[in-house]
Amino acid sequence: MNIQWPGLVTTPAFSYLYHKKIPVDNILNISNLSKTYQSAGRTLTVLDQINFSVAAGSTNAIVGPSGSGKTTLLGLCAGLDRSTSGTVELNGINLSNLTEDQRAQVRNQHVGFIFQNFQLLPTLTALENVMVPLELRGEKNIRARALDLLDKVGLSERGHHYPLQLSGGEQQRVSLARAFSNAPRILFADEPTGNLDAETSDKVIKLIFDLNKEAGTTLVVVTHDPELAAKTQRIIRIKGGKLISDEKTINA
Amino acid sequence: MNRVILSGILLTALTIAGCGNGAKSSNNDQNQAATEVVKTDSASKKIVLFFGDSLTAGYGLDDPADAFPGVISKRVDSLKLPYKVINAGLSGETTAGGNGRINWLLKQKIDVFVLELGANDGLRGIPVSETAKNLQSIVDKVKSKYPDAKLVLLGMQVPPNMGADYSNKFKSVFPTLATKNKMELVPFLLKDVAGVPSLNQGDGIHPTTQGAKIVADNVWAVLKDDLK
Amino acid sequence: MDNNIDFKRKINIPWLFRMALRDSRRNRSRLFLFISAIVFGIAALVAIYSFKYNVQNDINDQAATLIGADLAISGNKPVDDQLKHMLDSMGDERSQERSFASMLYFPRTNGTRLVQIRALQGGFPYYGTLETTPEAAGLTFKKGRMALVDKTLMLQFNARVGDSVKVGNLNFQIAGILNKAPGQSGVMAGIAPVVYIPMQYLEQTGLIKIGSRVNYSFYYKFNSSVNVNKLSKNLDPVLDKAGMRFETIETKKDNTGRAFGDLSRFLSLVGFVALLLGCVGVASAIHIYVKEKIASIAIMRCLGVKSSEAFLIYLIQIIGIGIIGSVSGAILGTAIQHLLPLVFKDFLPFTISVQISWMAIGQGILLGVIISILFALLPLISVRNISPLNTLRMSVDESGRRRDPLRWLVYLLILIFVIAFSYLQLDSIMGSILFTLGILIAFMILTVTAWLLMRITKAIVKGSWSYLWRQGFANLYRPNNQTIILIVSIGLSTMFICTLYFVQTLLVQQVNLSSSGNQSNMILFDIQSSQEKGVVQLTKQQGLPVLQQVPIVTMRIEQINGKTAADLTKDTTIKIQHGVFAWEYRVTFRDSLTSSEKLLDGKWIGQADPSKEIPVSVEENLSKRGNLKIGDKIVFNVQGVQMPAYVASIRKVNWGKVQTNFQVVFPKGVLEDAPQFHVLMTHVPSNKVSAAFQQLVVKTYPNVSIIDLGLILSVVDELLSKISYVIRFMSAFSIITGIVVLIASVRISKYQRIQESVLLRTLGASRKQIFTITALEYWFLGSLSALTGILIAFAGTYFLAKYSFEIPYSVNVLPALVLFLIVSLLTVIIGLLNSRGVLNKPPLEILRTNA
Repeated sequence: MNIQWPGLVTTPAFSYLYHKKIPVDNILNISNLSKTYQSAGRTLTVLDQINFSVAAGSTNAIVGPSGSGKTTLLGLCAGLDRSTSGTVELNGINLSNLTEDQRAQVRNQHVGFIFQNFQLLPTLTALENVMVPLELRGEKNIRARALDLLDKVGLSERGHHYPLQLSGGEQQRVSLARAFSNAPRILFADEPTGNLDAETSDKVIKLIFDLNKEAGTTLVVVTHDPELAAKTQRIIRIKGGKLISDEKTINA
Repeated sequence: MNRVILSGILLTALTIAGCGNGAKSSNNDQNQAATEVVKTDSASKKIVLFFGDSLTAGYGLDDPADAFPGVISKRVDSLKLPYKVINAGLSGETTAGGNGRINWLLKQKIDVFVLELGANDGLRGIPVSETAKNLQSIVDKVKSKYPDAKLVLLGMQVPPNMGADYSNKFKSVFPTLATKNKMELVPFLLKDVAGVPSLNQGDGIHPTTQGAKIVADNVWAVLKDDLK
Repeated sequence: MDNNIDFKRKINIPWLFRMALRDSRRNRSRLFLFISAIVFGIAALVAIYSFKYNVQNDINDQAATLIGADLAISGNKPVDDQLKHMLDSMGDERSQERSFASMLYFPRTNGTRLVQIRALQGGFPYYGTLETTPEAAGLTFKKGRMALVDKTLMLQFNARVGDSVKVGNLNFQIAGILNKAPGQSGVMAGIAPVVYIPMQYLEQTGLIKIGSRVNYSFYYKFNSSVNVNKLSKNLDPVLDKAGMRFETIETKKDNTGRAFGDLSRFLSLVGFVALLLGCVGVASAIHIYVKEKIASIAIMRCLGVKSSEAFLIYLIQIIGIGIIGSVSGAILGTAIQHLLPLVFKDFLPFTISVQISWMAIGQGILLGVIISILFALLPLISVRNISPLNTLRMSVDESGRRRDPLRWLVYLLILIFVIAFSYLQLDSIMGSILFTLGILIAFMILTVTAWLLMRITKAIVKGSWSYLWRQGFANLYRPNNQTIILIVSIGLSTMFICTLYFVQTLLVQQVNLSSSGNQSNMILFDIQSSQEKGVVQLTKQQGLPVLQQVPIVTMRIEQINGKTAADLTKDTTIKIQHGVFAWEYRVTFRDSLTSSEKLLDGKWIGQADPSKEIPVSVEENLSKRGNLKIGDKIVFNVQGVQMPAYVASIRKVNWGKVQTNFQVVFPKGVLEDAPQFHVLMTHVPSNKVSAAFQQLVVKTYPNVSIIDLGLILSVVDELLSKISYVIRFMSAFSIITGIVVLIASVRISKYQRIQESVLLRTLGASRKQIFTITALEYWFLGSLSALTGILIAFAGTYFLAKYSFEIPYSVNVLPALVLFLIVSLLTVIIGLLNSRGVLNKPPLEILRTNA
């Protein structure tokens, strides 16, 4: 660790600096994680006391019926949202204590995303979409590296196309290339095949696992798809906001 | 005098609200006094009526008693002469206007009638014959109502800028009229005052208090004999 | 380990610019649409401002002909050496004039007439010309012993160019007929026709002697931009001491009546409206544009873009759009300003100069950029708070975003900015604040209306309604609705248009009232009672109208509630001004009010009972000076006769008309026998008629004096007709631009409904069904906002008329109704045009190209 932070560091917000018990083998630690929403005077509990850890380099699936809270869980794990209580520790960094901007940087440095609806920037070309995270990090040879990544997902020819000119599968592949562009420690995927047909799904899944293996990235995927889940090493089941099972698969 | 009648007429807003805007003088006191005199003292005092325009009314003076009839009135009082002076001056009055309103004033008894009109006619370039005709008509009316009244005519002149021809004709109206009607004549009312900036107000035509005293002297020189 | 996070990562400015540019590349057509709204807003502003500045200059130049010089100094005494030295050292060009009344003699026809001689030396007039027939005479007469003689006078004495006239001792040859002359105001010019002679012959006329009444005038022209008003202010004490007066173009304008003031107030209003039209155009475009960008921002945030970076990317983009839009708008506006007068050249009664107004262009561009930024800031500051979670779910935590305290700062900035810019237009801080406040109120009314509409439709839309109606109405309150933005922008535009129209109508009426038209331009006064009938008859015989005929009785006020002038001097607590007693009142008597009078208090009594106190009516200002209230007792001294009266009513008098107005009006029945003279007013159509009529009157009634205002009024009339035209032109132009801005701001809602329409289309909705749904939504939006806007305009016009222009308020409902229909229909038509694309192309193509 070599975190430099200006000024006095005494507030609880920065307590993560002092709890340096970083289990090196765990990239993600979730403890007592809860999320509630206030709605029309009622408290709606979406996630209730979730605990689990994810080992670095592993592949994991979070499954559960619609409305079980799995997407919320993903959002919290990835630092897209703030929990009501409990902690999320990503690569040894306690996300709960960071500001949104600091979390954004954590995401930029360590996290990759794949979304059900791809979430490419519609006004940027495929290539530019892949370039953004690299550019944010101020890296060098961005264009070449982005082209290389596009090449890996088999789209080197289509870099100059806008997302809307691409098919769903192609868009998801672009987003995959983008997700891996910053060589993330962990990749979160939200129903990555949810909008794709079976054949395209298979291709995309294969790509995800291949890239994952190649880069040694940890994978956390939220899915309905039992086939996809079965390809991971571990399946965490959520129902009604509670963790109901956590089992290793034969891949483990 | 032309300014007197016209100053109330603005370019786009014609207002005949108070021709002689800014007129500070007032002949109230005299008129009020006159009315009182008529009621109370008429038996004991004789009436001197000054019938004229703004020169008589004292246009532009802080105190209307400073106009020449007022000066004369004070002189009459200090000499304890049995006369009451009435100021019937009206700013902007022409001979035609005077001819129109003389009857209104003849309702009260008059012993000495001092006629000071014509200046406004002259400044408006009204034909001299017309001025003479109107003045004659006024005199006729006074004579027919009060045949015994003594008549005094105050002579006027127009400024030289009107042109020698007109000026001369205008000037001659007064002696002619006086002779014809056997009136006492003050040859030129504004003698020693007209054209002297220090004795005239800013408009260059109405005498100041100082100027009015000289005017009063001019009149007194003729009038004093009638009051004895 | 590689988890070192440099939270202090520097913002990479070039990258932000690159992202901003990239993000704008896709969908240029859409961007163009937004920019076009800015372009129209700014074009409207620049064109209106340019016209405004040009027109202001034109009218100022025109006003300059009223005195013919930058500065005119006059007095009735010769100047002393010291003053002469000062007068001779001022200005870049100097002229002198001696003017005086004199009798002019026409040797050929043997006629004599009082005239005003103007002996001129130097290049005066510097503005306008001495308009003469033949044309050159205006300049050449100064070279010899020649004169210019007033047109009416020429006609009256049957004189011809080349004849001689005698001024004093000297004969002058008539070089030309004087038709019009700058600086020809003053009543002297009315009562006595003007004759110009060269000053070098003045001495020889023999008219300037001791006792002569001469007016000395000095005219100056300043080539450099000397602040004449400041200069004259410095001169004032010196001149005042010397008993001299000065006139500048400014003071002349102030004295020429209210038309100039009305015009400049109106142009300020137009400027303010243009400013807000610009704001509406820019703000509505930017607002919708940024709203569309929220999804992209969420993705960027997800990828690790800091909120400040996201904020900056779009800020940069908006500034770019703002600059492009504003510059194009300024170019378009300037082009319009140059082209329009060319196109309408044949219809314009006078030329509007078309100088490029850098002031207008600068203000337009600055305004476009600043407004773009400010209005982008509102959605953009919430961008800082857009949760990246939006990538997973749209609009989470919507409520949390609204409470950003920075919003208030932005509101404040917008407010300050609008006030600052309106200050540039209105030149009055109080005015700017009040105008802005008015707009704020209008804005709030429209927002509340929109909000209520959404609430109400939500409550009343029933499942039992036909699907099309339900859908059409539901679009008004559903998420992603455009109700507020459209109601506010349509409503505000309608309000501006309507207010401009109303105010324009009121002002043009007002201006036409003060121009002569059928109003009196000739005044006959000093008519004696015995002559009254004859003069009226004579007037009618000549085919001239008797526009007014009033008896006038002179009187003074002797007592007010028992207090006299003497009491006033003794008791300083009496709240009556001294002048009230000193004044010689010219009073009339009649049984009714005239059209220029309005009763403020009390009861008008038109007939008096001679045995009782006389009920009189007092003018407002006199009531103030004399501290007079209804029922107060006044004793009038009517040339020696005391008349007790009481204040029965207090009137307001419109002094702006050429007619007789009175401070005190008596009822009928008491003054009939009092000494009085009569005034008659008529309108003479031409110099010829005027000359003939004057001759006839003078011949029959030599004592009657005539003021011919024709010459004076024609200069003023020309000016007024220009002012009236300028007001109409500016309002028509602003109204048209207002409509264009309105169209542009409705047009940008094009993409708002496209997804839904495509979906419906995909689901098999027919053209007609989609048309009906769209038409219903837009009709409702259009009609409601037009109605609200017009109602606000009614109120706005009332306040403007009452407090800003101080003119009587009256509006015509019919044009408002027409405007209502136009705006509503326009909205529907644009709405339908917006969805036309959806109907003519396959749904997928639309989704692909526009999503």
